[in-house]
Amino acid sequence: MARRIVLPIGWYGDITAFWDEENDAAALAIIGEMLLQGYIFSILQDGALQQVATPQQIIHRKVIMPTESFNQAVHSGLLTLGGVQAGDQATTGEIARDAATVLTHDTVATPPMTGG
Amino acid sequence: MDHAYNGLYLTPDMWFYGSVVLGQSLGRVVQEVIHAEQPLTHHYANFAEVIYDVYNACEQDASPLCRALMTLISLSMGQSHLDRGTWALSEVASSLYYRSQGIVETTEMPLLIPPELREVRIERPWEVTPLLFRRIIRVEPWLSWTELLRAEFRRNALTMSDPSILAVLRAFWESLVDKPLKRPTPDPKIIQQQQRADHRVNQAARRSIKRAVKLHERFHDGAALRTFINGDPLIIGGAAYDYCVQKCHSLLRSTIARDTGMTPVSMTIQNKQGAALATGCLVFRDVGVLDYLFHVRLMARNAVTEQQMLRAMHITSVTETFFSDPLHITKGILDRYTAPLHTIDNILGFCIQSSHWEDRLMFYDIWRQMALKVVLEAADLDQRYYDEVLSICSGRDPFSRTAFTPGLEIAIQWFNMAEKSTPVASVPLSATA
Repeated sequence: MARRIVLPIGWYGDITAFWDEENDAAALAIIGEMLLQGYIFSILQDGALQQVATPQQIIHRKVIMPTESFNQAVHSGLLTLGGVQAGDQATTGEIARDAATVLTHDTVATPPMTGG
Repeated sequence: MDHAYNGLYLTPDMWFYGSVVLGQSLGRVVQEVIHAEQPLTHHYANFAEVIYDVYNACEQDASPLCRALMTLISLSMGQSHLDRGTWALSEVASSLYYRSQGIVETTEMPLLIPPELREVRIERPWEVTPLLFRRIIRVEPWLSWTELLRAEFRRNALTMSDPSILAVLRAFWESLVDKPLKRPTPDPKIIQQQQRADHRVNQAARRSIKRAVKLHERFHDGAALRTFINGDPLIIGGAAYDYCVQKCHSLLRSTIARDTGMTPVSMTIQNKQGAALATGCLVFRDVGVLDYLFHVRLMARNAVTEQQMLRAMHITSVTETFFSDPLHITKGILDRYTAPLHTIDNILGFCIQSSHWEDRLMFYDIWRQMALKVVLEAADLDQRYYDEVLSICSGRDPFSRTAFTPGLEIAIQWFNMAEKSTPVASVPLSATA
């Protein structure tokens, strides 16, 4: 397993996306698209994530993905959805400025923001 | 200029038909259409029949009630019409000024300059005088707008001068206040379906809240979250500023309504000494209130993302301390290109206590107030008309913008003084753009 992204999405709670290293290229494209949309990726401390739910449990929640390509990648098996995590987690206080940095770190994604 | 709304101008008669008579007479027809799977020809025929009957009845009916209702409705419409028109007038003045200064308008506001005014130049903000506004309202499309407004106001004033009509109008207004209009009882089946749908949504939202609490507790302080949920103010420590947040609505409501475009919490930005600087409005795409809090805490922790958040946020009110803090530079208040008009309006509309900043920023609103004054003067209305309007509306001032604080009179004096002697504002606005 390569790195993971924690995605707090809508009212479906947070999910975690995983991918294998051979799918880095596909993940890179999806992350690049999310960055363009205004998502911000905060870097997590190493070893913070522990999976406690199976991907099947998550899929049954009918989770809505942030982008269409993300959705397609999940259905084609390039990305795997992990479950709710356990234990305290902490960010390093740094953000990933490009997609390559997201690939090499565990991150938590913040959706685009604007003035209301 | 928006010609469309001149074209769509509705006379007091039309508003009367639409909102009162048609509202009552068309009730049965509308109910039929609502419960039909698809509107059919006979629905349209019924609709046309009612319109025809109402039109003929009102043509022959010159009762005081009919005229009084027309007046009441046109008063409410006149207010918004007046507001939009004076807004457009002051925008013309702004556009002329920017053009004279060679400033390219990059905000969402369009340039509102009719061909007849293309040669007009405004070198200093205080050159915008009532005389200039009178010149503007004599060119199309403002001429037609002003004439329509004058006609409407004169008609209202005439109606208001009739004591019998005033009595009917007062009685009608009081009856509305005392006895709210009865609404038809909805179909029990529809109510049941709606209740089931609401129940499903509420259940999903409750599950979402539980997940959001768990997520929050894994990343942040759980005790702080409970403070927020209890409705108490929560201070979020950021890299440069602190953020005092407090929930505005129930947790369930704020979780269900995610994409309202309004912030789900009230947020006050404070400096590290605890002094309030401003209140802000920020939204994240498709998140509930607890996820919102999660993201704000995450963004505030990092200096870069905090600046991003502050730039994205709309400032809705400020204190005097705001102007001595670097935050006003972050928000680009000095820069016409980055400070949108609504931000300036928001600041003007709330609490500016610094006279220095007031001098710089009050141009925009003063122009609007002056335009209003010019239009009302041109209408040559009877003072009794205003008095009656105020008394009928039970304290609701339909021309509240004329009672602007620090006051229209102060603004007029300020401009008169600037015309005759040295300008009050020592720093021209052009220096800030």
